[in-house]
Amino acid sequence: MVSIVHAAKQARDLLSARIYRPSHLRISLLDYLDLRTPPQRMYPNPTYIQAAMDWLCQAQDATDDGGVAARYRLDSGWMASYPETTGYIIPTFFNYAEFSHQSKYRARAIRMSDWLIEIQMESGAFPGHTLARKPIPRVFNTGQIILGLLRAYQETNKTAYLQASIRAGDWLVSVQEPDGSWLRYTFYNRTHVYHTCVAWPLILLSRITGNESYQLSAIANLDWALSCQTESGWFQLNGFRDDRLPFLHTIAYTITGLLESAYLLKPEMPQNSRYFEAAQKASEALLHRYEIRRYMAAQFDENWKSPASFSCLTGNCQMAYNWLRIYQCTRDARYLNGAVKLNEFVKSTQDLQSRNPGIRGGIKGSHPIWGSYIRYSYPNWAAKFFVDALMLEEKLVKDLYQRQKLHEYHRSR
Amino acid sequence: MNIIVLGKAWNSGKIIDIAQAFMDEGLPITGIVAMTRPKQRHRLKSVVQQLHFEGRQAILRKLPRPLAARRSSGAGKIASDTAAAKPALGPFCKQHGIRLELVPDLNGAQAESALKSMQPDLLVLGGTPIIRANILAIPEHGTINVHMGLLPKYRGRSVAEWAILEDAPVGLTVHLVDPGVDTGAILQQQTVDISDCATIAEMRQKLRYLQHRMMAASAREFLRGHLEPQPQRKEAGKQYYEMHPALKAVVEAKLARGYQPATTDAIPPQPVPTPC
Repeated sequence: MVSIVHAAKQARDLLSARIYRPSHLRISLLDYLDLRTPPQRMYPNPTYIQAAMDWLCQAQDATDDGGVAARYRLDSGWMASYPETTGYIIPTFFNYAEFSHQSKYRARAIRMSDWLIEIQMESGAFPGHTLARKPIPRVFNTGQIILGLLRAYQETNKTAYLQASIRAGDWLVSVQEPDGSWLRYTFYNRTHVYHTCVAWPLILLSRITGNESYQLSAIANLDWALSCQTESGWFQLNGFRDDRLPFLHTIAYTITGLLESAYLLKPEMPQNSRYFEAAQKASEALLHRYEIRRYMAAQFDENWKSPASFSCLTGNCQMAYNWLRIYQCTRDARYLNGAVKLNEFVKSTQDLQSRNPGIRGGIKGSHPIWGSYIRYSYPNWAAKFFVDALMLEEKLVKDLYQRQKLHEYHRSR
Repeated sequence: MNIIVLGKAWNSGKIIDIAQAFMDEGLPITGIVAMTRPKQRHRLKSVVQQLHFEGRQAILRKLPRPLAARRSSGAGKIASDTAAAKPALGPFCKQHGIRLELVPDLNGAQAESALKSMQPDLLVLGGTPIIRANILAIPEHGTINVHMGLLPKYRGRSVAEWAILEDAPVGLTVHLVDPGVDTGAILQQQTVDISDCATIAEMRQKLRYLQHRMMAASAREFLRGHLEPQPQRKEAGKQYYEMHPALKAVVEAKLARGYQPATTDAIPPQPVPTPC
């Protein structure tokens, strides 16, 4: 009986995802049979990066406000612009402009930044969700937008971006709880450990403005986050709703926040920071689980076990990036190795052939596409983290080959 | 003395090589417990996947030999040659009077009961998955394994390659097996000079040849009471994993240049009997 209900639900989902459209049917069949690109038929990394950037440009052009459409949904196509992710997509576009030597990506990043300034709320906060809904101030989203605006300020010297960041930072400090966490204006009105990704932009803001109060606020949050780490390295209070089984996406956010804060607080020796140690402890556990299973599951319980039979591709890209950042300062090549494999997995799921511009070059929320993280959709943040992780992999593998005087191997790769 | 080898039936060459090495040391093998390949749940799906990932040769390899040989294409010929080259475990066991047990899972109830009935003094691992405590508790003197790396520093997989990547010496370790991964007490280890190996394949061939003979010699000395197991300090090393080809390219290049480790361990290099 349970399986009949399950099958009926699946059939309903497939119909609502307009599975009868050739491009949707194609991707569903490929996922059902798990026909990913085999390693021997893979292209060099820049091909995948370019395809994902083209997809992100499509997502920006799908809306007329300068922001980036939240995702391409199989059921309803492109969504409205999403302020939070547009915020952290800005640094990706600036980085790619440098990587590809094409200034058009820089111009796009500036359009995104200008749109964000327009939608800033009276309080200094930025709204959650897309603007299709009633604007509600959100802590996490505001933090991510600060990252974009500060980068735009660093690139253009335009003070409007800095002023907007300062207003946003002041609002974040004003709504913080005494224990360092954020409870008000959060997703589902709950405290989340992944708010370490809010602490990180506050440290950056403190560095740029010289205002210590942002850093103090950030450190209070990071210390609170460490108090939520268990013996196994897992973090409590780290899910969107279900804290017992958080997605890799939020686990990776927490790790990113800790790592990047450590890089900012101790630029000479980030690995000596307790935030780095906490991030590495969780990362090591994930590396072990991934390598033993040869598959990165989408969710993890407190013993790093997972009942999930799908992969959260966004989380995979984020973790690959985190492992690369750990390798960057520890030179422990096991992390580089894991990141290259994980990136390769995501590359193998990227469809470069589809005739549908919402699918071609995009990264699915889940693999297979009906997995419960952002199902039947291509979120813009998956493509963003994918580009970030592949660009960093390109840099670090190239550095490794150059150190070993292996130019010929890099070319052949 | 009951010595039993555990391994995978589809890797019979390794099991036979270990058995041969033990017999050469005067330690007869009395039984082999081999795991059979797990059955595919979705056959059609797996055939489509194999065609996609490995090409039609993968399917041809699975065909019965006469059928594969009848194919006129080169691929069919390769498939039948590969099948013919694989040494058969059954005839080997029959020839040497060794009891052979085929089981679906080396940690399962069937393997446990077969091993208990064999009453082994020593279990020898020949390329197995992690063996659980219920199986490790059966043999009188314990279970031994040979590891293609110097413990405790290099645990896990591709460790010879990892050692080269980190400019460390390459070597072999014979150790007792506990429920952890390569964490059991060390019986014997030696570094191996691989400066004459120009590729990873050559290096592995050299290490493979040495490791089974070293394990057999260590087992003999251990059973005679001449070797004292040395417990490992887990924190003195790390667990390594399968190396990606992007990093293997670095290792290949180092080997092509004639690899010499930058660091040296306390263990002196031993003479190596065979060239690459």
